[in-house]
Amino acid sequence: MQAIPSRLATSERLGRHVFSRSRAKRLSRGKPDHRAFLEAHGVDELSVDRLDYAALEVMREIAIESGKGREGEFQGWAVIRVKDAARNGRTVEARPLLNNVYHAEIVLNISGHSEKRDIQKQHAIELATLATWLGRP
Amino acid sequence: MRKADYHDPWTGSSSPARSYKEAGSASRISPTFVRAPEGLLASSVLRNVASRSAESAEGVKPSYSVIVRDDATPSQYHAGAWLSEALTELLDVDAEAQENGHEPPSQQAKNHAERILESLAPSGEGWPAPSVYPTSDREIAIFFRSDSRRASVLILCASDGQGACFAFADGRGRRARYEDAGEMPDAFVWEQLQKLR
Repeated sequence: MQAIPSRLATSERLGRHVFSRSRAKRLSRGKPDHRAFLEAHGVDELSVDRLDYAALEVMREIAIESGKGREGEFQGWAVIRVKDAARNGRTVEARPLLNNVYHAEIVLNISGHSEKRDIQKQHAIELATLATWLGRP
Repeated sequence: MRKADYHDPWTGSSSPARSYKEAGSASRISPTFVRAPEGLLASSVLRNVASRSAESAEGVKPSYSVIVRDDATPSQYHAGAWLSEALTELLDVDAEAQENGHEPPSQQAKNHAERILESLAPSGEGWPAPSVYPTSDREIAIFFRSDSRRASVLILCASDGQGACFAFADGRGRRARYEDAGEMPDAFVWEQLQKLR
């Protein structure tokens, strides 16, 4: 396993898990879907995996494990670079978990905002605009 | 009366959409010829023409007309081609909502989405084909993205009849909300879409 620096590099790839088959189909055809970066009401942290420190097969197994109990099979990642994820008030923080040392979060920093849902959507479309698709190996 | 606010989320500045509309370049939807080169597009466009005709018979004036003919230019064909695909995706929103475990959008949201797509398509030459899908908030999303410009426009038709338009271009976000999605596409929406070309 490659050593994982706690500090994120701007060129690092961050992968957001996609489980919906229809969403994956759309993304794989190069069409956008902002739902890949939209969390539930009130949640302003987006879980991502740091993809550049292990083989994709390893990252796939982590994604499958994290998705247990939810609808749909793991399909792939919506991928965004740290430099794009950490713009317009967002920050990216490495937050390793016991079962996923590659885990990080894109933090929207909107907790005090009065129009929180709209701001969530605004960030989601920006991230979706800049993201690319990476199907599961 | 419409309540629509133009808002720049990064600066926090807001202004009424009405004054924004007056300041912007007003767009007008013109009747446009769209070529129908294959069965799916032809049936979609013809179905919409028929639908509008039926509304006319009931006293509702159609907002535009699409005429199918064979001598349209290739660029006009492309505008029509994404309409066909978008309407096909719109037909699938209930199935996709079910797949994702969400309640499907209302018929009112679907009607607004269909009308907006039909309104945009005749002027949609040079725009990327949009994605059309349901959201967990029971909206229908119409999402245009230009990879080359790193820009996008998201139009949302909510199940309660409201609407919203979110845009991202030149590294900045903008949005407008509408109490009645029937107000879309207005000058704000058209102006954001022009940035995708």
